[in-house]
Amino acid sequence: MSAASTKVLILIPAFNEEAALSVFLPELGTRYPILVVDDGSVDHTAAVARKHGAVVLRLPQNLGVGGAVQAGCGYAWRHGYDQVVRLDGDGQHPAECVSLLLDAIERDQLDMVTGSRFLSEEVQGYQSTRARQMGIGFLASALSRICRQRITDPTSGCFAINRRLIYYFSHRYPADYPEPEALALIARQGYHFGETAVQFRERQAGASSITGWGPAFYMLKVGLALLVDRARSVDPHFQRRTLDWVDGAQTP
Amino acid sequence: MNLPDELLHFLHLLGHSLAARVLLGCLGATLMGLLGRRIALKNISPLPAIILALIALGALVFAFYPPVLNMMVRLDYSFRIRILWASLSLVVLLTTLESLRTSWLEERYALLWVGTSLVILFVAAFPQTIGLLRILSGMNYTSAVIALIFAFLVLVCFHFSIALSQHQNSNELLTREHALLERRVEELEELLKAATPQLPTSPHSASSDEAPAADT
Repeated sequence: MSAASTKVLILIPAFNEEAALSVFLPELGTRYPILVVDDGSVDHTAAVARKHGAVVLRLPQNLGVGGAVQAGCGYAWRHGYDQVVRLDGDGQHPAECVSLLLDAIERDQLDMVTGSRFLSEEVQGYQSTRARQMGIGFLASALSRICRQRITDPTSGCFAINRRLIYYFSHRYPADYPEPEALALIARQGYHFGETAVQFRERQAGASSITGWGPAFYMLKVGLALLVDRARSVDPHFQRRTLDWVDGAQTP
Repeated sequence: MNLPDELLHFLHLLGHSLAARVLLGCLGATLMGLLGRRIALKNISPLPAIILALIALGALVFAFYPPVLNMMVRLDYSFRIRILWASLSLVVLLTTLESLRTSWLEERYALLWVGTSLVILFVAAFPQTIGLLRILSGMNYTSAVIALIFAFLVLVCFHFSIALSQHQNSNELLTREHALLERRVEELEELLKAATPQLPTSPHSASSDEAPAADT
């Protein structure tokens, strides 16, 4: 599949990000179509996104980032996209991420590439607070052991997926704090994934939705979910080898 | 004689009858064999397996050594009650974990159940921990455990009430959105009909307003 014929969609889940999006969307430009999934925002996120030429999927109520990404993947599958690049709505992921991720996915023939801010040795770009870094480090080592490969940034919201995972995620995607669980899940189901180094920035505007007790509850919830996923049997309908038909399939 | 005494008397007679013991032993062994085969084929889920294994084991042990029942009955009351609480909380714990594993139960609702059963298990293993309740209210051990279980059940029910409220709101929102979407489709159909009058309209056009099926 040559680069010219692959259909790529940029997926941005957004919750009350009208300010950040108005700065971020022009930076992304018009090279690839952009889908903004408005997760039940109460501000003008949808209007801002439409004004900058993005397709908008307006969810009637807030499902969380997991539900928003799943809805976006459903859209991508039905419209026949080959690859989806997911970026955060707050502009933490600069526009260069897109080409970095897509190059990595082509070069290494992976199903999923995550953008990691901790991959390079030196400290680069926005690294988040100390407390969160320790938590992320702990989670990264636990996840590396579970997935049996090196993972440095388990909570990164910037990744690229190919057609099989578009199909998979449109049917099954963890609901709360999905990024680490999703990695463990696809490792279990036999998919190939890797990381590539990217630099983050400060969020462009607005406030984070994970504050206060959030991180502690996050760890507890993710820990329990990882344990439970480990105990569950492999889902045969969505294993990598079961989804061979996806590569040649037209849109349903 | 009352029922428990009659039961014990019956079991005492059973213990003395060789035929009954042999029969019980064979039944226990067959049950064990069937279970073993199913487990080897991985054709059985953990919770029924454990319960049936315990029954089979009990039958076998009684068949070989009937006085074990007398020993159990003569155990100290406080010890027996702790075993009872521990077994009950283990059953709850295993049922919850199994439901989680087969995706019957969502994680957010399972957390409270797992917490409850772990606390009861802990209190059964270390009865001194519930001493605070005894100091405060003079309850004995059993009453204190029941009070603890009651408190947790209230928490669980309250959690359900919250979840139900959220689902209620969600349902109402989706109903409103559904109506708005329906209106948009009708407007589109009218536009289409106006633009291409020769095409047949769909059977659910605005002119055929039936009351939607009401499922309370």
